[in-house]
Amino acid sequence: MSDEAIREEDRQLLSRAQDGDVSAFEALVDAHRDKVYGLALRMTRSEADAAEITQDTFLSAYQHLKDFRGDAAFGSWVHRIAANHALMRLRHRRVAQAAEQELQGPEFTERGSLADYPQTDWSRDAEEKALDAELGSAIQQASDRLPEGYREVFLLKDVEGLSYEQIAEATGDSIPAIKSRLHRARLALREAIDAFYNRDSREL
Amino acid sequence: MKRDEALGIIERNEGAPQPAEVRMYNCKDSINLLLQFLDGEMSPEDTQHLREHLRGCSPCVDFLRTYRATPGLCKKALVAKMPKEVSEKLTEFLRSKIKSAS
Repeated sequence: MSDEAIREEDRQLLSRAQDGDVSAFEALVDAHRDKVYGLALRMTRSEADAAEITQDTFLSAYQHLKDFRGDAAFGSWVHRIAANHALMRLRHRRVAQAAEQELQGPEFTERGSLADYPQTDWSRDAEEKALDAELGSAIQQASDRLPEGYREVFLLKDVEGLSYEQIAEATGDSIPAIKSRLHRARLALREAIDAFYNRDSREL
Repeated sequence: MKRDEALGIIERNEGAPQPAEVRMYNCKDSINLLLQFLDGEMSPEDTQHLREHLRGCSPCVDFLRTYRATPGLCKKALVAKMPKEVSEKLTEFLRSKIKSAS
């Protein structure tokens, strides 16, 4: 089904749910629960927290159903609610953030050049090939290693597709701070993927 | 020199010469600016400096390609599906809440 067809189906279900049709609301939950759960799991790295956040998210959505005017897609609205619930939970358990320099980026020469940096262009593989399970696991581990505030921004922007403004609203951070963390998180993850592709040559 | 249409570095711009006092970007400068570059938020002048550097720097072009591919690859790797028992609990929870609210 196309994205537009999904949005139209959501609009119809939403309209029925706003008129009190519980089965229509349940159909919306069925359609969006995996994405909400996935977001919560990625952000909290806890299955128990993810399950609770998913419950809280859909309960909030149900309680505010009448206020939702449908300006945005239902999926985006629920996504933002889930992100807010996940962030609230993270704030409660957040430990001191690791220092920024712990994020590994490329190594430059003294003159700021990448000249001696071994590189493989794996960008085409990333677009064309199915994701290798081992690579998936390497990415998961690299994501888990990111300091909390960096993971949070990376997940919200690059995985969940929120805008900088939505992230700023959800986290309370400034947009320049969000962009700086996103860039450093991407560099660290790129580095981990690069290490995966170059593992054989670097082990020699 | 590799070429990349999406990066806007296919054609060599032989336009106006740069003033001598303008420092050329090095790789570190370029990489620090990649997010702004990809978001289209750089000034035309800075964009021009960056493209000048990229035209002559194959390692940076490779780096930019892989930097740009990173979010999509991570998104694929981090997709999660809700386990069946969690899904059943969710339905049960919402039904009980909705019932008690009505």
